[in-house]
Amino acid sequence: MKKNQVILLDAGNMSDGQNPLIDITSLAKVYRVTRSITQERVWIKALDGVDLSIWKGETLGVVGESGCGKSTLGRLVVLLDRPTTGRIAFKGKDVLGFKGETLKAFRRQVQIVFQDPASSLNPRKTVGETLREPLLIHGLGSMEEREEKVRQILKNVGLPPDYTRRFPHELSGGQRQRVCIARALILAPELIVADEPVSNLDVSIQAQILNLLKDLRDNFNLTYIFISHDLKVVRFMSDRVAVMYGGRVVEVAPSAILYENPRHPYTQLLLMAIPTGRGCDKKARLKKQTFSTAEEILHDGCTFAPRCAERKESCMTARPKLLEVEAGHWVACHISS
Amino acid sequence: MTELLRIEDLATHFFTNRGIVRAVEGVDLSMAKGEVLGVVGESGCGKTVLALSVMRLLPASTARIVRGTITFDGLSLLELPDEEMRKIRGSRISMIFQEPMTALNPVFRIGDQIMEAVHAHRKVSKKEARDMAVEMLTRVGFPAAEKRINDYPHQLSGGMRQRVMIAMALILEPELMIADEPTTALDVTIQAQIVSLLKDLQSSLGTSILFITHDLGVVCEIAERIAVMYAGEIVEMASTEELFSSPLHPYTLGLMESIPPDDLPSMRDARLRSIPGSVLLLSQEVKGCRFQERCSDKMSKCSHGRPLLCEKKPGHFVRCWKYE
Repeated sequence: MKKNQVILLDAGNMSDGQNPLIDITSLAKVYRVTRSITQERVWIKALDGVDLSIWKGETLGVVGESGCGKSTLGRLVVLLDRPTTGRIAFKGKDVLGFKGETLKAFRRQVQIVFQDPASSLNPRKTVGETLREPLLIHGLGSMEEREEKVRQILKNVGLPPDYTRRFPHELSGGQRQRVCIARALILAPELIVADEPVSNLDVSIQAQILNLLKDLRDNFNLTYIFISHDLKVVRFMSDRVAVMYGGRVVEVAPSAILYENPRHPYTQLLLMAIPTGRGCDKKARLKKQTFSTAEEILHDGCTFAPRCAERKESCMTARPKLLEVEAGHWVACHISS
Repeated sequence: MTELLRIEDLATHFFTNRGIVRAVEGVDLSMAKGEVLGVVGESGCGKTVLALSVMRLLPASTARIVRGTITFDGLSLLELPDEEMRKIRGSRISMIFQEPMTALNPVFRIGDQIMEAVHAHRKVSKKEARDMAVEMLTRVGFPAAEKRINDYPHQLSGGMRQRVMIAMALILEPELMIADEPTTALDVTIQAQIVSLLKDLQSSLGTSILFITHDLGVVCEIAERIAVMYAGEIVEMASTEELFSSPLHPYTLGLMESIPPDDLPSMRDARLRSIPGSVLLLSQEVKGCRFQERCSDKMSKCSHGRPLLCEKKPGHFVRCWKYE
């Protein structure tokens, strides 16, 4: 089935018959957590069998609510964490087998930008030091070349060159996020995982950063995994969108199709919940269905079943497979597919 | 329509080591009974300080209301003795906050916390207070409220915690509820539930709501009228339909254009028309319009005098030299 997915997505998409840049198979991550008050030890299935492929040059949006596993997915792709089971291939090679030099080379090509720029920059380092560090670690260029590269990258992200001497606390939130983007970009990676990169920013600043990410994508032929809870932002940024719930991908489709014709009940619920920003077209909004507020996640059946208004018996017991319902449009639901 | 709240020329400043922060600078506002008024703005625009000024919950050591009046149902709130103000807080004006986990006490059962609000203002027996709490929890959509009244905050999800806050705020049927970013910490689907709950309660109880948010999408779902704030001032105020159909202030326009639209022919090539620069620091002293540095329509007049909030159309106010 996995092979199928690759070929079919291939046909309906922008991959020119190449292999995917990143190919994720049955990826799972279980965290062992100790609850603070009760000291009770629990296992949390953050990621529960995810299959996804990302092609060179595309932006794959990953959308879902808190706790759905979207950030875990991002962390695993850049190898900040190791999966419990499953496989990640980068240009056909097994990433989990990388060691030493191959691992270092992989890290050059895959970078991440986090949500909160204040906590992901070292407050004691100047912008210049922060940006120089990746070049030093990878032993790139002479001192002059590195300085030139830092100035160039600041220009690319829209900051004046004399900002090299500034500390993070001297910058605004938007400027800090520009520095984080510059740091991710300085090694000329192929893939950037952007994990909620605009969630901490004000609306007017959000728009600036989104525009910047798109410009950089075009100028440097970047591939993005764009993780966000904001459906409007994901639509604006992504070529394809994966919707996650309870550690699984429940729907994947080219973004125009997903937003026009969502098939999974959870995707439908998410889209209905978007407040209508512009125009306030209250009449056009779909009548809200009565979904239960149950929070438990079912790992034997469909993770969404406890909240689903359309569930039937099999949803509680059998795990739905991600199946293709039309070209490039995959849904994991017993009812919709 | 009878007026419930009137704020006139309110200025709240913070006196810090680094100078004066003018968080609220000359705000005029009025609310009718039963109205939902949205206050929209980005972080640091003074919207929360405005709310805290009405509640008189400002940190006494640094903040001071330097001028202006707040009249609530004929009472001048700023002149009330503390004792009188305490009677109003929680019973006639209540408030809910962004983060329900920090607003709830983690070591008390939710039922006890709701009952505390009742006991603080009414002479009722424990049994009566408990019945009121159960009834209110049911109204805010708690299944099996009778049983869950004994839960601790950590046993509840974020959405459920916010429902507890709402129950607590509305149990004494206040005339005014101030909701400061009540849905910001919640997931989208839960956010939609809470907004529709607030709408239902508002229409059944007739409570006026001052709804503070940074999210234009959420505010247009619930508010009848919207005030847009920038750097401590109201820059535009109109009915929700009017504001969204014909925004006048360059800042309001910029905010709306910063939200990704869903009807673009090619998303991949689309760019947003963003507002350049960053939000004005409130400690900066500005001559003239506070938005001038980021404004695309700046004129020479803008740096000379502060524009006034004028009524451009009936009920549509804007603070901009373009329209004077």
